[in-house]
Amino acid sequence: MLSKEDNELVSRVGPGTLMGNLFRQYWVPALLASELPSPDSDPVRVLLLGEKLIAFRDSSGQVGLMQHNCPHRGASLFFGRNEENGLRCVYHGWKFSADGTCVDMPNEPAESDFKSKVKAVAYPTQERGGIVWAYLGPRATPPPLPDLEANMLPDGEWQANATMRECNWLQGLEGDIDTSHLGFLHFGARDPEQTSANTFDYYTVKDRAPRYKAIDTDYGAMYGAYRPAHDKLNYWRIAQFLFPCYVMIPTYVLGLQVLARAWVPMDDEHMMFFGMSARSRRAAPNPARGGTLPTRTGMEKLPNSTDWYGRFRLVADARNDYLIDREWQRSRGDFTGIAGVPTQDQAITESMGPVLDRSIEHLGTSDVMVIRVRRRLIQAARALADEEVTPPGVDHPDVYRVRSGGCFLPEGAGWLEATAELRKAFVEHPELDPAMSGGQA
Amino acid sequence: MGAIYDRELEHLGSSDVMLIRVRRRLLAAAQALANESVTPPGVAHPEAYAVRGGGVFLPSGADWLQSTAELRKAFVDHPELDPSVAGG
Repeated sequence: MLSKEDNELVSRVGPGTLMGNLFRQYWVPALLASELPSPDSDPVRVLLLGEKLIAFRDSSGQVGLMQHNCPHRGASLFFGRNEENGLRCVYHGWKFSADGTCVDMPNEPAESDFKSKVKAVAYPTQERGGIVWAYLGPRATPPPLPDLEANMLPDGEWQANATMRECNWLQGLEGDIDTSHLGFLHFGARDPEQTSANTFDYYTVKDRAPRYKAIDTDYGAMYGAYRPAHDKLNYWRIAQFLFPCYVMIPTYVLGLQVLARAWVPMDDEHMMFFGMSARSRRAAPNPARGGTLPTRTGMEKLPNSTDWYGRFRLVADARNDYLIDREWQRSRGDFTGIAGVPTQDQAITESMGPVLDRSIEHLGTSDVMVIRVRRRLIQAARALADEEVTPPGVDHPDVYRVRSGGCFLPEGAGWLEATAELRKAFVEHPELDPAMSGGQA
Repeated sequence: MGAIYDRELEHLGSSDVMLIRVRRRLLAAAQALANESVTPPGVAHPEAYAVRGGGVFLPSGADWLQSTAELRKAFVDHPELDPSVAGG
């Protein structure tokens, strides 16, 4: 649990809040590059850290990200004309380049120098691996981007996707570092016999109460959850939280899995999830996996609209109870009756309400990582506010060069020592067998 | 602009003189009413509303107020004026 005060601190991210200031120390994923498909394509409404912004790609391909109110009198630049290296407000014709410079002010007399005194609030952007990154922070020269391997792959080798979630960002992130829910929410209706023997999937279902180790690291925190396996081995699931809002989850094979998952606050009650991963390194899904899969994947999306909350919405949402199929649930075809692992996560974290009051919680031993991550976030936000301590990773992009996943380790082996090489990013491991996961993706 | 725009964020130029004046008059009238019970403009003077707006060509250098005094009066017919000067 958290006190109401700490819960407010860790949940609220608007300008001037402690957690908002912490986020503004970092580059954050703002949108998919594909949302701005070509030079002078349509401007896009983007909510980020409680700020209403307009993203546009100018004639040279550069991405601009500006506060949506025109600095003149507040008309929305969403309606602007994206033309010749700038966005022109359609109210009085003021035009701004991607860095916020006012390059034309045609309703002022020609001799006026008012243009040079006006600047739109525009944030620096960078594109990498399909993500448009934004820096909403105080530095004149922003820090470097984090060295997230999944976002640094050559073109053609990465994939990036986004899904909006209608609840506070930390509820989403906490689901990603809570390993024991896997055996219930996602695999609750599955029996060991429905999985391949001696694989990760098999042990995940066979023993649903793993033991935990968790430690602080220079990028955030890491845990290992372990349960007994065959031949005096333990099955270890190793995962990371990386400041301020990334998770590398413990699915698949440690050493082979390249991914990063970002839980980016849009405002206090909405987030955008960004998934980044290597393309086609995964084993083919095991057809023996449990349950009768419905024809829907559960991940179908509505077409994006131009609304502030119109990007990357699932068809299955709170308004239709995520299309729950009670008969499917009753017959144990699926524990939830909701199709799609990410949609199950979405349903459960949204069901807590837009901003959960964590003073009502009862946390158990499976929540050690959740507890640790909250503490680190709160400490970092306070240290920044009280002593101007730069938070973890801001100036050290190399600390993000890590990997997560599962492995078998001999009983009694030191998990940190034994996995040191496997947890390094940018290392090839031809010796590893992807089949040991059992199809887990 | 949003439901209620925060005008502290504005950057007003020379094209904004009229709205600056109107805001000032509204604020002054509301404060005068609150502080000194001053009846606001027009309340007791319905005839003050008998005016017209529109466009006109005037010789450069002409006094705009004096030259348009008659044209700005309501309830007056002007058969001498050509509507086509507006251009549509």
